[in-house]
Amino acid sequence: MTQLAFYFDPTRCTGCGTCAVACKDWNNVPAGPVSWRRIETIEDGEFPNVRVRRLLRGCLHCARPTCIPTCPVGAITKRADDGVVLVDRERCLPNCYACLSACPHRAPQFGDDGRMQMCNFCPERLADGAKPVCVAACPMRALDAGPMDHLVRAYGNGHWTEGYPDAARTSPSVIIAPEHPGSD
Amino acid sequence: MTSPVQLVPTGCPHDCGGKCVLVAHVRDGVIERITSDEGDDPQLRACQRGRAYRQRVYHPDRLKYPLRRTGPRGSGQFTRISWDEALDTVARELLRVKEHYGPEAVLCATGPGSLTHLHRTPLVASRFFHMWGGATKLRGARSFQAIIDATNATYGVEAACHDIEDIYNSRLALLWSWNSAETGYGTNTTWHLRQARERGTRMVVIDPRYTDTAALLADQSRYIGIVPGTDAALMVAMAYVMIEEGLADRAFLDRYVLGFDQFQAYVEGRTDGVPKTPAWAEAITGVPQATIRALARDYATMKPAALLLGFGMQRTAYGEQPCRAAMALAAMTGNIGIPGGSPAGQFLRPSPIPKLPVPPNPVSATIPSQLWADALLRGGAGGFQADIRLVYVSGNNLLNQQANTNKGCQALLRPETIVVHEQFLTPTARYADIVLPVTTHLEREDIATIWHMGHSAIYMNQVIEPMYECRSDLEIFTELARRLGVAEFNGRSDREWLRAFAAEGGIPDFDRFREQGVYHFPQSQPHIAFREQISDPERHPFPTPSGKIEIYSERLAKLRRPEVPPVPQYIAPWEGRGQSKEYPLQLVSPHGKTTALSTYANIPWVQEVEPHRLWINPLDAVARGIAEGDMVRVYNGRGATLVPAWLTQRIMPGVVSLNHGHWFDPGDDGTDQAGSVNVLTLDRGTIVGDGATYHSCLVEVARACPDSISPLPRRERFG
Repeated sequence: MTQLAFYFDPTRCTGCGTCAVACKDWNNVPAGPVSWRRIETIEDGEFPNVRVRRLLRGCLHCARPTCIPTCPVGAITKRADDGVVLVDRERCLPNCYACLSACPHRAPQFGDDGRMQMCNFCPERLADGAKPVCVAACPMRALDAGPMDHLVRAYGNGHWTEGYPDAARTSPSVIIAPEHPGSD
Repeated sequence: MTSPVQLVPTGCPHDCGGKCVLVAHVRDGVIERITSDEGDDPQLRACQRGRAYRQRVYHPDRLKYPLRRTGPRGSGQFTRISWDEALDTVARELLRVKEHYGPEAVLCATGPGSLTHLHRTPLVASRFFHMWGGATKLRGARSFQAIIDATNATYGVEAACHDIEDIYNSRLALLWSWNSAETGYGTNTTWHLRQARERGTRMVVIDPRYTDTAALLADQSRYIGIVPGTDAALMVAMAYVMIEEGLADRAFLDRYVLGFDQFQAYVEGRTDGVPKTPAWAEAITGVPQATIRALARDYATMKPAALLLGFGMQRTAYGEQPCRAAMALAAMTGNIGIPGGSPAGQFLRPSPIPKLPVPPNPVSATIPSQLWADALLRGGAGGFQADIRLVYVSGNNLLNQQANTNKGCQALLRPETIVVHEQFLTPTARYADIVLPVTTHLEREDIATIWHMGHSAIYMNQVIEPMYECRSDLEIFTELARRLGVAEFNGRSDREWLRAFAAEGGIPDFDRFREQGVYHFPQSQPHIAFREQISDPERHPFPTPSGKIEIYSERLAKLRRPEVPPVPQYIAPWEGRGQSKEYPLQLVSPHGKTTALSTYANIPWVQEVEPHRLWINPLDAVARGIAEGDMVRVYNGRGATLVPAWLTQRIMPGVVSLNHGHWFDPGDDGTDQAGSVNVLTLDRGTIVGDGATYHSCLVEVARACPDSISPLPRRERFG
C-alpha cells in the first residue's frame, strides 16, 4: 500500500484561507460550520514579541484511524491501495458523532443533514494525476501531497507539531516542516 | 449522459494589486467550479477572494434589472424599470443638468471597481464624460496620492520601483507598512518575498500590528512595532544615526543628490533646535533607541538593501513626509539604481499593453477627492470649483470607502440626480435615483496585467452570458452615447478592442493568448528603476528641475506650505497619539484578507475565513471591561459602529484596528451595525494632492451591551 499524505509548512502559511475556500468551491460545501480544510491560528507572547503559529486541520488519513472501528454502521473505510480514509455519507447514521469523539484531530464535520463529511483527498483530481485542490491553490506553496515516502524524502519526517495530538495515537499521514525557517 | 465540462481561462480584476488566473469549469452554461493556474511556473495563483467568485456571480442579491428609487434616498426602496426607461431617464437628466447648469454640474465619481484594460471603470466613465463635453472629476487618488506626490517631488516621476523578482538580489529588505500577505500587492509578490527570505535575505517588517506579513517574514526579532503616523520620525532618526556614525554614502550624495546639506541640518537640529536623535524618536514612535540604531546600521551597511513602502504609512496626515524621508534614506545608503536596492518609490509600473483611450476633459473643474462631501454640501459658495447637481457613480462604493460616511450620507441628499452602476445594492447604490445593473468580469472579456510585474498578462475570457439584464459599464455608456449624440464613443466590439490592445502591447499571437489565458513577456532581468540615471547621470539626468535626486525639492519649496517642507520632516499628525482625552485610542483601518476594498464583503466563503472584528490589545480591553468576543461600540465625534472585539497581542496598546470595506448599515439611532469603519475616519486630504488620511483617526471603544452574547464563532473554526 502506498499511503498518500499531506505536507504542510506552517511557516509559509499566512492564514489567507485560499485552501479552505478552494476546497469548499471544489466540493460544494456551503459557508457554515463545515470545513474539510481549515487553518487554525494560535498566537502567544506579548506585544511586540508575539508569535503566530498555524496548524493544518482536516482529515489526515491516519495509518491507524480510530474513527473506523468506532463507527457503528461501518461507514468509514480506509482505501487499500493508497490509504485514503473515506466516509460513505449515505451509510452514515445522522447525528451519531461517534467518529468525532474518537478522532484526536477532530476531523469529522457535520452539516445540516447530520451526516459526517470530511477531506477525501480529491479523488477526481487524483484520477487526473493532479494534486488535491488545496495544494494546487495555496498561494504560498505551503502545502504538498503525495506518497508518504516521497514526502519524507523531500521534506524530512516531522510528523508532529505542538497543538497536534501525539502522533503515536493514530499515526496521521502528514509531514510538518520545522518551525524555524530560513537563515538571516 | 451529462454534458462535458469546459475549462475557460479567465482572471480577476480587483483593486488588490494581483491579477490572477481563474479557470472556470462550465457545464451547460453554468459555472460549476473555479480553479486557478495549474500550468507552468510562474503560476499566477488566485487568492481566497478570487476562488470564491461563483458566490459573487450567482449571489442572490445580484442586481438584476434597472431600478428607480421610490422611497427616500438611502432607504433602499426601488422599483424595477426597463432599460429603455432607465437610459432615457439618465440621458434626459444628463442633458437637463448640462443645459441648465453646464457640464461642470455633473460629477463623474468613478472608482477602481474593475482595473483591467478595457472595462476599467475609471476609464470607461471618463471616456464617456470627456467625449460628451466634460464633467467635474475628483482629484487625488484616495489610495496612494501622497506617495505619488513624494515620488514626483524626489525623482520627477510618479512611479519608481523594481520588479519584485529583484528582491532575490537584496541582502536586506525593510518592509515598511507593507502587508502583502493580506492585501495582495501583485500576484506572487508575497511568494517571492518568502522565497527570498528562505534563500537568505534578511527581512524587517515595520508596522503598528504584527500582521500576517510580519509573521511570515520577520518573526519576533525582526518585527518593529511603531505608533501609527510616526514613521517619518523613525526614518529621520535613522538618518541621524547614519550621519553621526559616518555611515552615509557621501560619494553617492555628492554625485546624485540635491539638498542633502539642508536635510542634514534638519536632522541634526540646526533648523529647529531639535536634534532627531534615537531618544527623540523613541518618545514619539515607541521604538526603543537601540532598535533604531541597529536598524540604521543594518540598512546602511548591508548592501544592497531594499526599502519597500506599503501604502499604509502614507494614508496619514502629511503622508508625503515618511515617503520622502524613506527616499532620503535610500539615497544616503546608495541603494538606488542597483540590483537588490530600491528607491522607496511608488511602484505601480505602467504596462506595455494599452488601455481604453480617454481624451482630455474639456471641463477643468475638479474637487479634492477627500472633500467630495463638503463640495456637495457647500459648492461654489464654499470655495469649490463647481456646484454639483448630478452625481454619476460607477465602479465606486463612494459612500462606504471615502472617509466620514455620515457626512457622505448628508452630502448625497443634495444633488438633484444620482445615477449608480453596480452589481449589488451597496451603501452607495442605496442613495441612487437610478441604479443600473452591471456584469461581473466573468460575464464579459478583458485583459488584465499585474502591479509591478508588468511582464505577465491575463486574457479574461468571457465565461457565461450576462446574468439577468446586466450590461457592462461600456455597453451602458455606449447606449447613452448613442442617445446623446456622442459620436465615435465606441464603434468596436470588445474583441476588436482587445485584439488591438494585444497587438500594440507586443503580444505576438492573440488567439493563442486567448486560448492559454496567460502571456509572459520575455524578460532577461527584472526591471530596476533609474539604472541609467545612476550608471550614466550626465546623459540620463533625473527628470527633476535640477536633474538630481531632490531630497531638497524645489517644486515643494515653491508651494511655500509649512506642511510640505522642501526637505523631509517628521510632522506630528492631526488626531495623533495623546491628542485627545475623549478619544484616546488611535484607529487604523487596513485592507484585510476578507475584502478587496469593499468587494467580497457580502461573500460568505470569504467572510468566514476571518471574522470581522476590532483588534484591541488586552490592556486597553481590560481597562474598559471588554472581554474576548464582546460586542463593542467604536465611536468618535463623526459616528459610531458596532463590531465584536478581538483581544490580541498583535497590536500595540493605544491602537485599535478595524479592517475597512464592510458595508455601512445604520440602525435607527444612526449607529452603524456592520463594523463599517469609515463612519469614524476624517475626510481631510494629504497636502499636495488630496490623498486619503484614514489612519490619522482617534476613537474611543466601549462595550455595546453588558450581557451581549458573543457572535464570534468558536476560535477553532476560523483560527
